[in-house]
Amino acid sequence: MTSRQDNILLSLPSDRVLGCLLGGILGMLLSCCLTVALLLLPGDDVPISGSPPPAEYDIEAIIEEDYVNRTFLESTASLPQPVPLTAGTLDVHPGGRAVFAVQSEIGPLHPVFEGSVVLRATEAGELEVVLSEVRVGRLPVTMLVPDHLLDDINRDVNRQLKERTGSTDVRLIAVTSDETTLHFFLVSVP
Amino acid sequence: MAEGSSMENRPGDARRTVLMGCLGAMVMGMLSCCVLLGLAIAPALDTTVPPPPISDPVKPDITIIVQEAYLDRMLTSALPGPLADGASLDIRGDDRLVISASFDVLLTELDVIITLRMFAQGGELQIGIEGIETGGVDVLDLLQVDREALGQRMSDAIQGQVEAGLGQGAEVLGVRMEENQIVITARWVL
Repeated sequence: MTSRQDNILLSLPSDRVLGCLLGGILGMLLSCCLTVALLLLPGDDVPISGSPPPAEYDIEAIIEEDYVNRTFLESTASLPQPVPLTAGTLDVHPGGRAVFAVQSEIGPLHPVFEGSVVLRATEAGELEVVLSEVRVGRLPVTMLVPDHLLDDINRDVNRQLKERTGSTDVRLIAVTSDETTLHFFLVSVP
Repeated sequence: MAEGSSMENRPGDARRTVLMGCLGAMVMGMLSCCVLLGLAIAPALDTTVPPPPISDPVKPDITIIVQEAYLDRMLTSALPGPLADGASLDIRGDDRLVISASFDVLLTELDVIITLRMFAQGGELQIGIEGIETGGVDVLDLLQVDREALGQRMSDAIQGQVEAGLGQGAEVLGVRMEENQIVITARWVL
């Protein structure tokens, strides 16, 4: 073998380095694919109650978005939170849908969790808040939200609803919304 | 001989190459995962939630629309049987609420028409009695009943219902009668 061939062989990376590089590239590609798949995870496909208001009802309560926002943190304070919340806002959309953003305090970080909920009336005449999705940045974290949290929210909301309507024997039959208000339709229980 | 030994593929070398590949895949996979997740979460750390809106003392937080048919049913269910049969409630566009009742007194059918006015005063729902007439005669004048005191007692009873329904801190901003419905606007002073 000539000295020129020796130099070429010495300058070529060894099999281990090549294996390491190849593995690294494959690992990077795989993790990229996994992350992209994770980011593209769809939220729960909750049907939006885009139905028109019921033809017959006894009482309609229209609640302004501004009021909900003024009391948002106060309302959530009574519920057990996985992380302490420092700020929150709710943006009402047509179809009984509301988009929320809450700022939490996790050590020195203050990430903002964004998501959406759907408000609807159940057959039993109760209000049901259904979580569509929650994201932190672009990362969906809906699956990390504890199940009991929504149960607690629904229990608390319905307790308040019963307290407010208890003397009138009415039940909720529909929830609709527009860009700035939530509409609750109630009928009297015979 | 030296050339032959350097180019030879031994089983141990192949295993080391695979191990290095796996190690590279793991390290690069974890690194790229962390970088991508960091990039995905970064927007959540760079966002702030707007503060809650400032309460507007003129703008209502809630609007309650009560249907005439519902009030009529409530009235008839609250009255004793013979009175309920001939009682009806009419919401007029001129902000008047007219309750008509007819009942038999000593073989004579007596028609009583009660005209009420509902309005908001000092954050409370008030009822003003315009007249309780039968056969064109004002019963209140005839019986020398204090119209204002009776109205105040009725207002207190209605206000109690409003407070129970809206909770503490509720302030009635306005009441208006529309064809077949009463519209009550209120806000909460937090």
